[in-house]
Amino acid sequence: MTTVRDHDNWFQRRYFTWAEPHYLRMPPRTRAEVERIDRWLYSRRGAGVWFSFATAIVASVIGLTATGMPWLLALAFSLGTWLAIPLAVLGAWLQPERFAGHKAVRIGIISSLGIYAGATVGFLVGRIAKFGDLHTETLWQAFRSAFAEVAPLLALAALALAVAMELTAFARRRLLRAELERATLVAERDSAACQAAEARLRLLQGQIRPHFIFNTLASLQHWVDSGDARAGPMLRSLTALLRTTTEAMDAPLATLGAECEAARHYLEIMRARLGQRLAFQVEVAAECAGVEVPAGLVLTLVENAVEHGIEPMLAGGRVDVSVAREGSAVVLRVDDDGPGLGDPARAEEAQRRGVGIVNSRERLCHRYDERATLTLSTGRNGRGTEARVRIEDAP
Amino acid sequence: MTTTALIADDEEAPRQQLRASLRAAWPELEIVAEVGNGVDAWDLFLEHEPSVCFLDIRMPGLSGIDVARRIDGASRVVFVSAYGDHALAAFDAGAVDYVMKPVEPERLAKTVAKLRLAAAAGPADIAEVLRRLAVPLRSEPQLEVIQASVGREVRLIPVDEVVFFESDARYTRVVHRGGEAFIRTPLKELLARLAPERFWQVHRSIIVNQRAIASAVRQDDGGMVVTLRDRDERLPVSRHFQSLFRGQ
Repeated sequence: MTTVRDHDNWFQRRYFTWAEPHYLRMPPRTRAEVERIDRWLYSRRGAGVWFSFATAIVASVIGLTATGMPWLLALAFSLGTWLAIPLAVLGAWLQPERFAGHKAVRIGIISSLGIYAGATVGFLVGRIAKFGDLHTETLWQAFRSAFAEVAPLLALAALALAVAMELTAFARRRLLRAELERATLVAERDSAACQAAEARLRLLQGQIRPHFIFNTLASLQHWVDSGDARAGPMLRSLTALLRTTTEAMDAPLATLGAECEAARHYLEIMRARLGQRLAFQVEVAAECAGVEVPAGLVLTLVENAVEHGIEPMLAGGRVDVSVAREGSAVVLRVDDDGPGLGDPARAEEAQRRGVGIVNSRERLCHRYDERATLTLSTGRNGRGTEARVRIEDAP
Repeated sequence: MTTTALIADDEEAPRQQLRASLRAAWPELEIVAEVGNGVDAWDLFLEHEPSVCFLDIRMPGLSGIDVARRIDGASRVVFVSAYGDHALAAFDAGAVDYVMKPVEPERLAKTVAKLRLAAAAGPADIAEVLRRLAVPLRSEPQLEVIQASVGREVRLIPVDEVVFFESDARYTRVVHRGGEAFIRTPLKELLARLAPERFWQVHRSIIVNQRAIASAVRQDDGGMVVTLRDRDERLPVSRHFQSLFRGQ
């Protein structure tokens, strides 16, 4: 929080430098409001308020002195009245919860006592001013008659002040409640939208592209028709893959172990289809297998690697999937040795525009906030593409 | 005259399935070539000039659409594709046909019937359909520099400086402004990585830098040769490519 601003005038700079430590001790909500009020009071427009205050105080000092009150007492009385009333009302506005139920009663009693105590002190000071000392022989009697005279007036003043504070606090409480209700409503709506988006993403991620299914079925059909021994294992891999991806539609998260297993099934199917053109390896460090990631993450990255790294190459290529611990982080790598990302501009584009990459990044962020990153870069030997997911402080 | 066909698909099983299905649906069709990528599809098209080409759309090197564009109506094209590829419905309106993978015998029978009818009708104009299908498919990046080993050094030749490429038994000969060199990459693979508007294939075994061509000269026997700027070589233009030079 920066309270002192560049365009503040000299007075504001001094004031806010002084006020800053005080602000910091307040609860954030109150602090913001106090600061707003202060900022208004110490501006050119606020000067009008100060001027009215000063006029009111001067006027009441003159009035009270005219009734025979010593001027020092009149000043104290005027200051007390004209500052205490606005301060009390302001307090009720800023912290309305302090003026509800038994707290209100307590504050009422304390401020009434305060008023009577103030009046008593005023009476004593007045006597000293008049006689040079307390003049003890007539003190008690004078006090009684003065008390009889002012007590009802003071009680009325205390009551009026209490009512003013209570009304202010009540109004403020209603306002705050309405604000809270509105905020809750907005939060609920946002969270519903968020959940809907997540469900939609999950469906997308869980889905295997129909293109893949029908191409796989084309090979299977032929191998079944011609009694080829490759049909059996391929059908088993396809079944396992479909089972995993169907389950992924129901669960937002899956373990890296299960994810890599699904990726292995996918790669087995692709190797059967592409023959010599695809080689692959999947390595998962045992201690990382239980780390949770958004369901479908690994498959999305591996599908990307095959589609953009292997299929466009005449000679094919290889895909390596690895999960390993690096210090306190867990790192998933999907490497291919395909055509790569090309020049930096195209690489940048691939990072931002690839639907699979963008979705995966959003979902990772949902689960791990800032702790997880997903980056695409040129492969380690300057060839191909590496997709890397890094999760800091993974369990 | 027997009808000849070429089958191109980057996966072996669908290719074999199509061959088996075609044998049943069209016994007298002679399948002259079966290839696993777009580069070989184009090369073998030039060699055999089959009357029908069954092309998978997604293939490495050149896509099925790239190959069809180069065939340019010289042969009937049937696209073979799995679900979801490139708005297949677009074909319904055009002269090109398509079949889905896995191939269904009934669907293939209809295609065969259409092809038999079309065989009598002459070449098809598929340019419009192909234009509508102009979907950018990802392929290997284009070459900017040719790296040629000469003895113990590797020479870097910017493609702009190349005059022509010629395939030679086991190598590809690169003739450039500063001399000549040999590389191992086959001509048909180079083709897929050169900008087609800058490098013209004029023969199955020759690609010429269009800027280096001075003229095309028709021969008495119906053949054609191109002459080059500032050079004496004369390069043959095979029949399929003569339409590149039509005068304005």
